Order: sequence, then C-alpha cells, then structure tokens
Amino acid sequence: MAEKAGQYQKQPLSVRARPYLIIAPALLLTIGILYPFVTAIYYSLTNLSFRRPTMKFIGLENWISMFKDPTFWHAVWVTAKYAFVTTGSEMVLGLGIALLICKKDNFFSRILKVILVFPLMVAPVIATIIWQLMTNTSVGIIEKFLNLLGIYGFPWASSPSTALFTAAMIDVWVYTPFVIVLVVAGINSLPKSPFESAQIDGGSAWFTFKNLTLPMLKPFLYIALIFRLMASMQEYGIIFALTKGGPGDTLMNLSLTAYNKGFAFLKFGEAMPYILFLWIVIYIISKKLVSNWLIVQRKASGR
Amino acid sequence: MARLTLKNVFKRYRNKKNEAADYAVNDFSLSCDDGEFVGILGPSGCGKTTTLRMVAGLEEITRGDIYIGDTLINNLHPKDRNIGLAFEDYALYPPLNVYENIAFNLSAKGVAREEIDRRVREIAPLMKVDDLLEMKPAGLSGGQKQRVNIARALVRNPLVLLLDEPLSHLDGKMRQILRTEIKRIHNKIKCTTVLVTHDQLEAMSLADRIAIMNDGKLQQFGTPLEVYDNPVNVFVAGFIGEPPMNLMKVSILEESGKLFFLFPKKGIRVAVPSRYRSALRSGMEVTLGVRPTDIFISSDDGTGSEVTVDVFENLGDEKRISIDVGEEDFLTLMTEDERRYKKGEKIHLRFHEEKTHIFDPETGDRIQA
Repeated sequence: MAEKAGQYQKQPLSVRARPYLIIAPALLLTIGILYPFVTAIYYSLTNLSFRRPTMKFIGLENWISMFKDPTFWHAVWVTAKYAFVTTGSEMVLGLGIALLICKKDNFFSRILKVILVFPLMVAPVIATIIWQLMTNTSVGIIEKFLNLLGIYGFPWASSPSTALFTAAMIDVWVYTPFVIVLVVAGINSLPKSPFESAQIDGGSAWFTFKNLTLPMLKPFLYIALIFRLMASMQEYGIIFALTKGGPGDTLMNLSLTAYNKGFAFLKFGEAMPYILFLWIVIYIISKKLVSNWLIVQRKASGR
Repeated sequence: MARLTLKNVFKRYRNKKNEAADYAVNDFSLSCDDGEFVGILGPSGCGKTTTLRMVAGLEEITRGDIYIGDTLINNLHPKDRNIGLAFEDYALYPPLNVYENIAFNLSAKGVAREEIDRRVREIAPLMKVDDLLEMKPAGLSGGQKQRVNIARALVRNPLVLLLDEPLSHLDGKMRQILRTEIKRIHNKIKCTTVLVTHDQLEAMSLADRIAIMNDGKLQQFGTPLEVYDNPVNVFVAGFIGEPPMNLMKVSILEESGKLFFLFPKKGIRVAVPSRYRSALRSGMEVTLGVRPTDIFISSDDGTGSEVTVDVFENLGDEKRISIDVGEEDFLTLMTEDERRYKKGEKIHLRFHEEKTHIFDPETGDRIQA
C-alpha cells in the first residue's frame, strides 16, 4: 500500500500510554502532596472553625492578624532559638564523636558505633518521657548524681530559665547519633591514601583536619545540617511531651502555637498561616543550603 | 641522600586459615647505595608494596631493622623519616590545588611563605607541572596527577624517594614518556630511589639493581643484566623476560658418551652443553630453561635436533615458532629470518650453549655448571 511520505504508522495504545504509566506513581504522589497543601493555603484564607457550621472566605485577614500578634513573634523567636541550639550542639558533638570513633578501628569502636544508634530507635516522645523520669527531682537518677556535686532540686523543665535547655538536651540525646552515623559513613567513604600522604607530609592533627578532613567531609556535614535544621525547626514531639509548650509560653514554637490555635481553640483558619509561614521559611533556608551543598561537594571532590 | 638498608625484615599478618601465609614479607634484606635506583619487582601480592610501606612508616615492622643512613627508623613517625612517597593511586589532596598539594609538606612544617614559593616554583618546572599550579586534582589527567604526586614527594628534598607502581595506571604512551622522565629526574638529582613495580620492563629500564620478590621472600638482587642472564631459580627465570623463558622438565640421556636433554613425550633430544657434563648424569630429571631468543634454527647437518613446527606467528619484526614437544608442552622460539614456516614442517634446532640453564626440579634452584 502506498503511504504518504511523512506519515507515521500508528503505534498501539499500550506503547503510546507507556510514558504516562511510568510517571503515574510519581504523579499520584505529587497529587497526594499538593492536595493538602493547596487546601491548607485555601483554609488560611477562610474563617474555618470547628465551632461554626459554615466558613467563609475572608482574604488575608488571618495572615494580617498573625503578623500583628505578639505570640506569633514569640513563637518565631522560640523556634529560632531551639533550632539553633539543638542543631548547633548536634553538629559539633556529632562531628567530634564521629572523628574520635573513627580514629582507631577495633572491636570496641565497632561496638560503640552500634550502641550509639540506639537513641534513634526510640520514639522521641518515649525518649522525652524517659528523660522526664530521670530528671524528676524526687525519684530521678540525675538528681542523685547532682546531689553528689552539691546541686539540689535543679528545676529542669519546670522553670522558664532551664526549660529550653532541658528540651534541647533531650533533642541532642535523640538526634546526635543521626549526625554521628552520617559523618562516620562520610569518613569511611573518604579515600585512605591522601591521609597516609598527609602523615608522611607531617601535618599536625589540626593542620590536616583544617586543610584536608574538613573540606572533604563538608558535603556530609551539609546533609546532616539540612536534615537537622529542617526537623528541629518543626520540632513538636519532644516539646509537647515535655511541657506542652510551657512553662507558660516558654517553649511555644510555631508548631505548638499552630496546634494550640487549631486543636485547643478550634480556630483552624487562624492556625493555618503559622504552619504555612514555617513551611515558607524552611523552604527558603533548605533551598539555600542545598545549593551551597552542591558547591561544597564540588570543592570537596576537587573540581 | 643516604643509603637505605633493610635487615631481615618480617611482616606478619594474622591469618587464621593458613599458617604459612602469615608472613607478607619474610626475612627480607636489601641494601641500596647512596643515589642508587633500586627496583623491587614481583607479582601482585608478593609483599613488595608492604615492604615499601614499612620503609615509609605506614605499616608496622613485625621484626627486623630498617636504616636510612645510620639512623634506625623502625620507630620513627613517617614524617620524621625524611622520605618522599609517590602513591600508586596518586593520593593527591582533592580540595587543594596543585600548588597547595606540592606545598602541603612545607606549610605543615611551618616553612616561611617565600621559601615555600621558591621551592614549589623550582620543583614544578622539573616535573613539568608549572602550568597546572592553579588546577584542582580532579581536572588533571593520570599522567599529570602522577607528575604532581612525584613533585610533592620531591619538594622536601627527601633522603629516600619511594615510588609505588608509579606507571601502572597510565596508558601505554604516557607510561613510556613518564618512564623516561623519571630516569631523567633521577639522573639529575641522584636521590636514592626505590621503585616498586610488577612490570619487569619498568624495573629493567629504570633500576640500577633489581630485587625480585615472590611470596614475601627475596629471590634475587642484582643488575638487570645479571637477573636476565643468570637467574638464580626457576621463578626469576620465568618472571624476567618477554616472551617468557621456556621452562620444561626433561630427563638426561647418555648415548655413545654424549649427554642429551630428552623431551620424554616425543623423544626429541637436544645436546647438553659441555660445561654441564660434570653436573649431570644419565637418568637425572632437570628443569631446562632457555629463552626463545636463544634457540636457533640450524641447517640440516646432523648437529641440530629435528622437530616439527606446530604454530608459526608473524609479528612483523619478529617471528614466533611453537614446537610441540609433549602433550601440552610447547617450546617457543623467536627468529628474525624472513622465511615463513608451515605447520608440520621439519626444522632443526640448536640451543645457545652459554645461555642454556638447568634447574633442580625439586627446589627450583639453578644447577651451576
């Protein structure tokens, strides 16, 4: 049969549908992610409340009242403090411990690497309850040790001046192993011979660390930093289990404030901007960190 | 610059399965003169790199002593041994550029900035890396990396320069260029140098003396010509030379007062060189070793031994002939003559009298004339 030039033979449907079938799972997932997002944005523009049978569109009213609300700015400050203190401590401790544990490879260090992961296997809420018991001033084990040092009745989570420290300590206890695991994996993946060469070249421990180890480990540190910073800004479980944001409003970060607005006061529309604001901030910060990470990774591999 | 002396050095790794394999380096002694270029040659896993790493201080010495000059260095930290090591995989510092890589040692020691700059700019042209100083290692080719690697080892003016398989990761042409380059550098600075390699060509062309290792033990230490012409045992004989030496079991046959090597399977016999007369008796079994270049095709005048051509290969400037002397044993010989030989053709052979070696089939040691 004479076919016209330029005309293609039609492919069967199963072949033509294949590209769409291949992306279908990702598409479904994206819809699953985007649907609640879009809904949340919409609700933030309404006066949705569980106390009212109807809702109506009120524009940016929720957003404007949020920015005018001092509890919002307090929540931002608490979120920033908490994220800075926990992520900072976890990064420093995680890097330090990982470097020390990789110094010598023996039976003991291998056992330690396994044990150090244990806190990651405990739900943060459970860990918090354990710590609450340990820091209890009448029955807690820590009080007994502090007594030996002459410290009695350390207030821990019950005082506004030590509550953040207590919550951060639990966060550090739970998540430092995460940083350790990442950095240990990073150290193990580094080539051995440049470090042997550095031994012959005679760099002091600090000189080698500064010029060689740190630049080569930076991509791994960045990964740990991105994950920890994002998670600690959203932290909810530890604080909720410890004091529900108290004492007073001491630990009321953005997540807890939004929860209170939505579920304690049942004002859903008002709660939404808090969560969306947190999301926007985290998005901007992580975007910046990820682009830095790409640069750092390129530098570490010597390009 | 200084002498490097290894005295009865052992390296032991615990190996639960195989007691005998415990020793990676077994009673290894070696002495390199001041300014000498010594090659340590052996198949992979023979302990040559372990030996080098013990000299560098990256590997603990199980037993024995290593001296640089008159100083015992067994317990010195690698940085205090005054050695330069060029690593097999280059081991450049990825985050640093070429200049900083070469300068690393000097800046680690706290040498003044101007002095570092002077030394780096002195060594860089010597290794032809002066155009690369601003580049990062990942942007360099294999040959350039190796030049930087050697420059970094040389910049500290080491007493001993250690080269670990410096050419093994390079392609053929770059290998040749850098080989010549290494020789040129050595001629210029006359630094005591130890080269570890599995490539006999590299060792033969670069080293003043070659130490051949196998299974952690030193087999022979001598000039390239010595190890080529007078291998002390079957291992050295078979390892040195390309194509490899013909090594095969033969028995000795006496007939009308003359001794012959008898290839039992086909009954081929070749006259024994007269210098071996006193060492051999009829009925003995020996390992015969003769290089393909030391077998000649002779005219049919009754002095040669008649054999049959099995395979003829024309490789251009040389021709290889394989001769079937037993079920799976082939004798290879090389000839430069223009004739083409056909399978099944009868030819006559003669061995080079001086260059026919015989070895004890039990111990592998050479039987002296």
